[in-house]
Amino acid sequence: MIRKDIPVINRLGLHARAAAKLVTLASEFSSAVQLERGKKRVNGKSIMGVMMLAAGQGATIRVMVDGPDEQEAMASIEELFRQRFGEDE
Amino acid sequence: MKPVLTAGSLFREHQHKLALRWLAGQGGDSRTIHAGESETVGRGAPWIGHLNLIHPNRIQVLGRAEMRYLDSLGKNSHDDAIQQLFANRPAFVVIADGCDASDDLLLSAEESRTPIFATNLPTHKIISHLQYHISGWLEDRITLHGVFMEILGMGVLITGESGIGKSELALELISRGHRLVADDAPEFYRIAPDILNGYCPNPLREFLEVRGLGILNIREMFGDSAVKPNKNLRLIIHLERMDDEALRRMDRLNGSKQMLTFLDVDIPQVTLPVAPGHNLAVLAEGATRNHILHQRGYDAAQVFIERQRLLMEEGGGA
Repeated sequence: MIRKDIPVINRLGLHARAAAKLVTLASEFSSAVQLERGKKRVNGKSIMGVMMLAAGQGATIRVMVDGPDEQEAMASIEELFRQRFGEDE
Repeated sequence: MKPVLTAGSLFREHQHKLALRWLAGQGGDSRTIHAGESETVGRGAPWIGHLNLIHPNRIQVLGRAEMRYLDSLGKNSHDDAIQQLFANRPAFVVIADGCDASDDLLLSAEESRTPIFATNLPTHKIISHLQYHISGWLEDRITLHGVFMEILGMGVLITGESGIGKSELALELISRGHRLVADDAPEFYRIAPDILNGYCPNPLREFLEVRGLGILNIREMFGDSAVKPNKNLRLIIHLERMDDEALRRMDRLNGSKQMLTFLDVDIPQVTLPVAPGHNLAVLAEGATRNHILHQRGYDAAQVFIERQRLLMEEGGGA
């Protein structure tokens, strides 16, 4: 299992469309993906859960990936955050 | 293909309802309502209306006012008008309001082999009745491959490649109280600028073919309320076999919705993944219920997104 703290840098934060993208990406890997913010820990493959984090710009998400493809999964997820979920700002 | 609509077939179909009598021009039985390529009146010409010599209708209707007008003309003008009427080669002429046809009118009709029908009904009744039937008849038709059903009172077409389980899904939906309109080849035509009506071609009516069971008569099996002669098409449910990969790529918020266009009418389509463990009948009902909500203006995904946005503005629960 690997874990990493990743900041949310896009202006809109982890809003609905961004959450959907994250969930879709996480679902492509067979590793279990969990996200944690404060006391809330949710399944990274469940859109309901990810949206419940309500993480705005500046929040930090702890991402935990566990499974055979955990390295690629973590790298892809980190890249998605860094790319602002494909948004301009 | 649709059979050709002729003066004779129209007469026989509406003879009793419109109390028609065939006065003259029996030779024009096979004259078509839909003007042929060679005719001067093309598509878009009015099918039926009060006598009009400038924009000739395919079916000219003469009532009391038109007859009075013809009578008021001088001999030469009168003859010219009659000649003009038949020179435009109408499909047929109706003399309404119980008026008498003058001898020269009947004679010209015989000569030009143009049918003349008479009735005691008023002109507007004749026009609105025939207008409705002819325009419905002449609309472009399209056959869509799939099972057309009424689910929760809404017309839903189930599509998907053959062998994917459309008929099995239809049978399950019928068992749950929904209705069959047509299996395999429902035909659709436009009844309003934005409404497609679908009906079952006569030979297929009431029948459903299910692999392993053969041909079933749904009316005999489930009763009269299990079938419906026609229905407006509001939603298409497309079945698609999906592997895990494709399933993972589906839009998780809005589902897979897209617009298809048939005969210039937009019809929304929802794609349902067919995979082991999926109960398609429940999914189809769910898709239909959700679409009914959409039509009423409620979009669950939007409301959900909005609620989450508010939560984020409050700073989240963290």
